[in-house]
Amino acid sequence: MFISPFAPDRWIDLWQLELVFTERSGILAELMKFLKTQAIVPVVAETCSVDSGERHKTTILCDCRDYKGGSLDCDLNARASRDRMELNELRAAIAVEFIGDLAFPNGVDPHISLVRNDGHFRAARLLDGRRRPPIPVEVERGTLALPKAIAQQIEGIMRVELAATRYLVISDSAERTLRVFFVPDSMMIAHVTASLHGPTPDLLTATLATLHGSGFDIVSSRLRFATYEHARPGQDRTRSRTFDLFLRPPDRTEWTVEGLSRVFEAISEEVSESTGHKLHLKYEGTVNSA
Amino acid sequence: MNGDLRRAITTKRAHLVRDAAAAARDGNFARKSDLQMRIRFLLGLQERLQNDARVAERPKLFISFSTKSGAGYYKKASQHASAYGFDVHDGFKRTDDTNVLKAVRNSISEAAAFLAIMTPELKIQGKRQGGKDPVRFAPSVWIVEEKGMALALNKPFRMLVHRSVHEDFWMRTTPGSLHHVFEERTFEEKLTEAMTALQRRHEELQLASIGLPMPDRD
Repeated sequence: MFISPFAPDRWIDLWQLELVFTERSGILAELMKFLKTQAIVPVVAETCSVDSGERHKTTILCDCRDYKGGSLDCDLNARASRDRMELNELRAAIAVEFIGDLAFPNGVDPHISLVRNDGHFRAARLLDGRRRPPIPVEVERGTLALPKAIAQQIEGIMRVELAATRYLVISDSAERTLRVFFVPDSMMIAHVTASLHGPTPDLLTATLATLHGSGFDIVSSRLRFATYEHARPGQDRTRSRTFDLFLRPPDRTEWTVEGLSRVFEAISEEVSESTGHKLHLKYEGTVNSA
Repeated sequence: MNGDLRRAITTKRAHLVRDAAAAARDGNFARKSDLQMRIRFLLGLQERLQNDARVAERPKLFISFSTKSGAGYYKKASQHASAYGFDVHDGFKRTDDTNVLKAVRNSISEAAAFLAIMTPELKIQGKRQGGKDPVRFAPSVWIVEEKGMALALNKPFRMLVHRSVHEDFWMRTTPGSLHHVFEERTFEEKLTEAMTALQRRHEELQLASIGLPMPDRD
């Protein structure tokens, strides 16, 4: 299930614009005015002074449906039909308009990027091929109450009551979306936390290769500095890593909690021996149930 | 690249060049160096956009036709050509030269391929030995002119000829295999034959330009 804060009619042509200006009063007003001349609608925007107030970073999610470019950027219909697309003319037009204000961090190119919001684009394309319309849902106090029609659809697909359905929610902050993976009874997804104490590239490579070699498939993962729980006492947290993994075990076995725990212990030992650094994989459980 | 953007780049560059010269006069070399960096970026940007535009451009197909007798066929051919990946041009769209012949020649010269639709325009009748010729027609003189230009410019060439157009206007100057004689009911079939042949020839020339042969399609 794909959850977006934006109305579905916007999804097809959302673009993330990021610029860094040399700080100057009035620059944001000029930028917004220029975007208006190009028929670009800012959907959400974040701006911030950086580098001790010398520069200003601006990130804008733009709805470009009404923007008409030349032979490169084309119009909405042409853009919507192309799987891969860049708005080179629009990016160039902004760069030219603000050529005196843009920061050139490497002394060659200005800091400006304009990237399609791919998650929304692909969702819009999928939506286009569906018979069922999207359903608006209001989030109240952090809770998303699924409408009956969606609940019934999920139950129909999963062949299990929604209350007994297991799910995994993954947030994609860059895309500004949530994705919900519903997990059928027949499928197991294990949550494992790895503590990496040693050179990150060595341990990471060895861990991933060993998991792959043992038949595990990664559904989602996150690498971060070690949590307080996983850091070695008295040692700088940033020198270790915590690696969260959601894994599909190989299908060949009926897995038990004990069986999985033993497999992860064995993998931990194998990686620790091969790298000479400490890895600890901890089986945390299976995916939440609703 | 669109004209507004091209003009904007040129104008901004001119301003920056002027400012850089002023900075140099004032002895502000840090500012001059900063402006020169921005000028270099604009120069590179213009070049990149022009290259991108060249790559993004679809090949042009010049369609020669008579507005008087071939407009309906032209419309069908345009739709077909677009589906084959061509941008359609004709002798009526070009307005960048007051000399019509020159404008048409430029347009044909920029085209990747040439398609003519020769339709009956002027009634002609002659006598053969021992009998009378059936009623035949001459095509628009412009189609004959444009056909000559396309041949002179070595363009991949195909011609759709209405069966009532007299052979003397087309058969004597080009090989018969490049012509597709049609009637009202067979136009689309012959158009498909011609477009397939033009597209194949265009692809052959593209591959040949980088030294590759055309792959077998069977």
